Amino acid sequence: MTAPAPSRHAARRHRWAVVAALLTMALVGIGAIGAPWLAPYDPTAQLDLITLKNQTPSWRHWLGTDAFARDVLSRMLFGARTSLWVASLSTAIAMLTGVAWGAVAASVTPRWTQVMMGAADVLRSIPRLLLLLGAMVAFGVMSPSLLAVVLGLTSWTSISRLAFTKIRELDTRAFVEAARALGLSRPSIFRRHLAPHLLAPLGAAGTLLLADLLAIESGLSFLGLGVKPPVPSWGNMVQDAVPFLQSAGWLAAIPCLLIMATVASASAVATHVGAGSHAVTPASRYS
Amino acid sequence: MARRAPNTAVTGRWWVGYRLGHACAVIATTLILSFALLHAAPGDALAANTAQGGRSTAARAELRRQRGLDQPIAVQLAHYVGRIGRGDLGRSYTDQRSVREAVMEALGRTLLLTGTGLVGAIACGLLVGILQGWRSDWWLSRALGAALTAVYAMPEFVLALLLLSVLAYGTGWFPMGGMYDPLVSVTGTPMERALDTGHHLVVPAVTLALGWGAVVSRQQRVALLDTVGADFMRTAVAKGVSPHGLLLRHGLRPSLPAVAAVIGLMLPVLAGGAVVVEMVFGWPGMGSLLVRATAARDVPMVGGAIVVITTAVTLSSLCIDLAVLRLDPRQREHAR
Repeated sequence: MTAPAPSRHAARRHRWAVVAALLTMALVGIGAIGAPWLAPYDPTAQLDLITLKNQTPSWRHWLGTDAFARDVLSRMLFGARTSLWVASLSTAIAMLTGVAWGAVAASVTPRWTQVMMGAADVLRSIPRLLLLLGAMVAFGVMSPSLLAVVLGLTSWTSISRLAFTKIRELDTRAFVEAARALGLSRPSIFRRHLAPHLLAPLGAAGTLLLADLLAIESGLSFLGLGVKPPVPSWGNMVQDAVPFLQSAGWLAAIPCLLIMATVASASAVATHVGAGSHAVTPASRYS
Repeated sequence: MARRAPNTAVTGRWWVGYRLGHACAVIATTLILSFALLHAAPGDALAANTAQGGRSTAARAELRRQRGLDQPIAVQLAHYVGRIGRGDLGRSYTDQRSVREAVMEALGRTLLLTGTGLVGAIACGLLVGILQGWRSDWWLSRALGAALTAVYAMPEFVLALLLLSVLAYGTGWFPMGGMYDPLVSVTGTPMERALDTGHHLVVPAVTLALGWGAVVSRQQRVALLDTVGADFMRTAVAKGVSPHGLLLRHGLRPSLPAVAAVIGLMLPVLAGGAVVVEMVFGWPGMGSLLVRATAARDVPMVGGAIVVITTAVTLSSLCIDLAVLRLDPRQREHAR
């Protein structure tokens, strides 16, 4: 009943898990970047509607073909490109906005601190999905990049709270006080003394956000609200495959497995990076 | 160079005031956003009606005047808020149905699904979490933990499709979607109809229960592991409390607020509908309504649903926070 002490064996297994996760992410990244050179076919070309519909994997088509006779492997590679682009661009936007907001809020007068963090709290209390759907109604059909911007601008509030709390915590520490006593300006205190301490917790939170946004993007595309066909994304590939769940189950299984592997890898890396920094809470998925 | 003195004790009263102001601000922001949506979306309440009507420009201008669309924005916003205050959410662009009726009908169905799912999630999450935190080296708790971790890594739609293909397509035990059987809903007795809906409810509710249960179990495990090493637990062991008493009376109690907080975070999903699950299983609740309205760019419907859901979520989370404040004295220190 005592808390399990991490044995050396467990630590080694944990390290292997992180290596495997990083390897998965690297492979997906290479696939995404190299899609135009790696993909054997055009991802949107309907190769032969009569004979190549819902074919099982073969040597000519490693992952088979879908209902529109398109090569699934090529679509997976280009889909990785879309999904990763949306997820990483939106994560970058959310991180930049959130950290900037939190850092400014921690440096202004108390009244403005209350106003800024209060505004972030208010925005965070409106369910994110509703904001997303509202934006979708306002914009209509969105390009993947616009989708990423909208996702990023609705996801920065938890990051700003984390950055704010961490900076406030660091502000009471002696080395920051010493820097202030030496007459360093706020920006250089931030750059030289605060930023190095923010790297680990924010890195962990950012990686977790990446996993989160990857899942959200695939969910939205699955619902037909995210990336629109014919541009392939893992989510809309699953959507295309749903009518054939019984007759061609692998069509849904392939993108599902890859989404899971990528999301799980990103979470594993985040947990590893943020170990001990309390940045990673299982609840963040629902906020 | 603002550096506040370490915050002087935040009083309960201050916290209550903050929470009330926060709730008002959230609802006001939602109203403004939903109004902006109505205003900014291409076309307006008339465009949808007059596009195919072939009315003259003068007739359109007259209609705009009648509906107050030529007034300043602030006045229109005030009118909008007033209308919503009276419970009038407008009419759908697509089928002219009253938004309030449609939303209320969908809300009832959604609460049936998400409520069942939440109860299942709490049951399965607490059970597995306690097992993992308490008997972490037992094979069963390891197996259950591994299973829920796998579920945790799945996006909702993957889990939903998996259960759909196994429980509905594979075995044929459960219907493939919808909320009732078309035949039974017409010919059946009330009892038969209730049973039929229950039958349709099983797979989507299990999906939700597993997905949320994974989150609850993680939180419970972490909270319990924190408590297990605490001094008062050793004291309890030393004074001879039985293992069950140790778990029930000393171990669980301090970990419950953290778990309650996670459950509080699920409120939006409770009212907003588990969008993905509802779509996969064709459950006609808030989620399906939102997705369909969004795809059709039915602005009044989406705006109305956003206002109703956010208000419900804000008020209930306010109630929960105030209740926790009364129940748990420690929260007063940690508030904010």
